[in-house]
Amino acid sequence: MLSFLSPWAPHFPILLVLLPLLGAVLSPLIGRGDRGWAWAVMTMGATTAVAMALLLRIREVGAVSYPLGGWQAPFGIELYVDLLSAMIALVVAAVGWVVTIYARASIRVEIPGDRLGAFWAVWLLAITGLLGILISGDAFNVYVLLEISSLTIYGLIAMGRSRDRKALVSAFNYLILGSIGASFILIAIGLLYAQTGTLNMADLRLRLLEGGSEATVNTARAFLLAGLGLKMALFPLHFWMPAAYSTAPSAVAGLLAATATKVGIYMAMRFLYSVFPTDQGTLTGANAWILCACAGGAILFGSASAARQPSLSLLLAYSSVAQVGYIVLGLAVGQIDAMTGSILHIIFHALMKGGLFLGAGIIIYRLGGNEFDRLAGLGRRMPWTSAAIVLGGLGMIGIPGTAGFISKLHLLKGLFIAGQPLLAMLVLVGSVLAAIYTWRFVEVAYLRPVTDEDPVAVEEPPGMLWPMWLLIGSSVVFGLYPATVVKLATDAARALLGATG
Amino acid sequence: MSILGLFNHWAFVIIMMLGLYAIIARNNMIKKILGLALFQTGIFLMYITLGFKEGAASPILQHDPSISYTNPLPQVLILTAIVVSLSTMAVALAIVIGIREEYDSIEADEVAHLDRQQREPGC
Repeated sequence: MLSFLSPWAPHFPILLVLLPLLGAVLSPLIGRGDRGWAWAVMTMGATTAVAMALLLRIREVGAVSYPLGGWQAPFGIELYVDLLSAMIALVVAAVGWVVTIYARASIRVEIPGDRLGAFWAVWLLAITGLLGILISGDAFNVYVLLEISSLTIYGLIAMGRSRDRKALVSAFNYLILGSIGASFILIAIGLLYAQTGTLNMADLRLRLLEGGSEATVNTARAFLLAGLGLKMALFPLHFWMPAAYSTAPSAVAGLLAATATKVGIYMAMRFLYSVFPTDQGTLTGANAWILCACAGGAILFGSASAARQPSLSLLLAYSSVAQVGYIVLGLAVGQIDAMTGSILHIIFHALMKGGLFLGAGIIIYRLGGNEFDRLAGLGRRMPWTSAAIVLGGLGMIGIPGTAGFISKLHLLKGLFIAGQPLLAMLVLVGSVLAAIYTWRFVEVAYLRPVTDEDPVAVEEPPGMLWPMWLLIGSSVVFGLYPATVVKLATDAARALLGATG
Repeated sequence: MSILGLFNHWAFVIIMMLGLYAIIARNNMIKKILGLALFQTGIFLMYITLGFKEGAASPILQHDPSISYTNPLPQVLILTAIVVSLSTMAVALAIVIGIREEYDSIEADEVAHLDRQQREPGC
């Protein structure tokens, strides 16, 4: 498969950024509306193929380093792709592709033509930034690419204004908080540079291991964690996220929920374990405890808040706050099974929550909103959409047979091995709370009668239905046949923890 | 090292905190954006200070091994960060224009009040 790409094999890492970047630049020339959409779908298709080929190649030959312009690291800028980054890059590219296909109908309803402007260019640019973060081996480049993706995402969220003017306010608040977070990351990188005189991540690690001022390194780590906490919406720095996800255009919410916070978590994994010195692969002292406390708070607060939200979009957003908590919990414990669980949950949650937000978008497309008051009897009016949302909700709980079960199983195993039964209990309590908020949708959609004045059956647009089912369905397939992806995630976790000195 | 010896570091922290205070305490969205700009400018000063060396020449190669140079890399990095900051300002101002069009106000508390009214009609 994909063997026709083999002459290009050494250049896969740079192509992963170049393809969507060129697509974005050319997109305004191709046109708005359907032509722009077709162009974006083609671009994302090609990017996904490259991401797939890159993952297959890395599975054979191991991590790949690509010196940009032939300038060798640490003086030149290096792209560095290992199993972890290649896996998450494939998820970002593939989910981005599916959501792009979905976006056609959704965007037409939610954004009027005269405001559409360069929508597809901004969309592709956001994905460029996210993919760039994943493959960069240079700390300052990570910052710049983070800002490229963040700035475009603020713009994409603000485009929700035609449906809900609150989108502008949530985009503004996200911009202020996101920029403060990015500035903290910039300070952290500056302090690391002051300490070591290098920006290349592998080189940074070597020089940090040689020792130096403990205070500078710890300050840098604190700034970095605070900044990344804002970016990945880790409790208690999550306030921007539910507002932004519930008011953004549906397709944008789907893209963000699946990819944006995940890339923030990837950065945390990369910096905490492959740049900063660790103690035999685990975080030391306060770092681990602060992360565990935030993650625990996220699981309890996020799940409990999700059950009390007035609309499906808000429910899903608060559920995301909780799911980020699970991922960070595994990351903080630094045990190999827990880390495997984290990596699996990054992938599976991207598929499930992406699919769920697409489902919420189909409801907005047909009913104009997804407040629970409007959803009475939805199970009969929109059977395919409702079924997918229930299936995704079962994945959030972690019912056996869904992907959520596989990742939580590894996380729990890791927590028990690491001697943290209390944290494991927390994960189980979170699952019970997830059952409560999923039940809330089931109750409204299936047990409440259809109100009289509403039409009984509503047509569900197939162009939106099958992308949603593709994401939800693939999460079920991974739940039933997890072997391959679990093996890859275990290898990635071992590389991440084992690369520590 | 004396407190005055770290003058630039004190300056960058104070500038940053002034900016952060403006972001939190000012109600006007334009003033919040100005606070953000000030906050980021403080960080630029930190980077520029990193590369500075007293009595050193500009980093242009001269055939004299005794000359020491300032480090040009932090300045180059900050050039990029300034562009990022500029783009942030542009996006932020564009969003504020949109808020002004939709709400006819750029005061954060008034906008929040209007949103609450919309959610609870008749209250």
